[in-house]
Amino acid sequence: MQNRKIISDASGLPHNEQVKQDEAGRRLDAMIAGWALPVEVPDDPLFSERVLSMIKHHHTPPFSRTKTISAFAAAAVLAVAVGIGLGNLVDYRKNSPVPENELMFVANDLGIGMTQIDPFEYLLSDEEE
Amino acid sequence: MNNQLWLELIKKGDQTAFRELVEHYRPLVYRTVARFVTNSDDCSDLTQEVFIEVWRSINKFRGDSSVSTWIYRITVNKALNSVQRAKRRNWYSGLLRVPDYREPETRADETATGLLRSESAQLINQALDTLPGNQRAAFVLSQAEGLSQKEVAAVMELSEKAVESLIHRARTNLRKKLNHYYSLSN
Repeated sequence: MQNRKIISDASGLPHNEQVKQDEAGRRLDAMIAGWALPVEVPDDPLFSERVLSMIKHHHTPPFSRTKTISAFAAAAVLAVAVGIGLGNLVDYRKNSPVPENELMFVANDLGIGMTQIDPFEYLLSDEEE
Repeated sequence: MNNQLWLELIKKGDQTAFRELVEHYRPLVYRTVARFVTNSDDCSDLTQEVFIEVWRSINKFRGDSSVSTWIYRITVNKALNSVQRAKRRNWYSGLLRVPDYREPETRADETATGLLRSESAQLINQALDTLPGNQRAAFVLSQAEGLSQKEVAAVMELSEKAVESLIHRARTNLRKKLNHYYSLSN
């Protein structure tokens, strides 16, 4: 059987394959060179003016003393209002006669004193029934 | 004018110095964004956005890198964000079955750069559109802007090795994506 000699180079690829790859590489390089030609920059004498006007139009200063003080004052007023509201709510819950009355009815139903009542036990026994 | 003096004046709000900086770096910014967005109106809009960002972030610039490196960084970030936005817009327009207003045939006519007039440039741009952003950025900065790997590394805040790898992968991917073109032209 005759062994066919395959010519290969340092890359280990058959000669024909290597030639093809080299050619492809050259074509890619040529394409990239065409693509990389300098881009024409159009004249635009008003460009910087336009940028500056956009900056003035959209730009907000990063720090404004007046705005910061106003924001803190508004936050403080809001905090006080929320505090007063919460305080009133707690007082209302504390002074409300409803829970105590409820317990009194329960104690009467069970025929026991107010100090002996266990509301959870009552509720559980109610559910079981 | 000295870059450092320029920056000091701009930081103090000197609009004349800023105007000079804009005029000096406008070609650099425009050239770079034109490698990402090929429509001339989009290029101008994006160039404006870059300089607005330069003005806004001038006080954060500490001078660790050169002014051009810093401007390149802002430009590449803005351009990549714009590409992402355009891809999302195209995806939604595809969902809604709204015809894409930027058909490839009209894109070539619209451009003022003349870049897309050549067929190979169009093909490269289409292939670049499919590459990951960091590969595209490294490729554009090195091949089109002619920056060294060290300079690209400074712009992208990466190591030189990482940049070398990105450029190599970009070339390999371009080669794969343009393979059909080679076989057609054989």
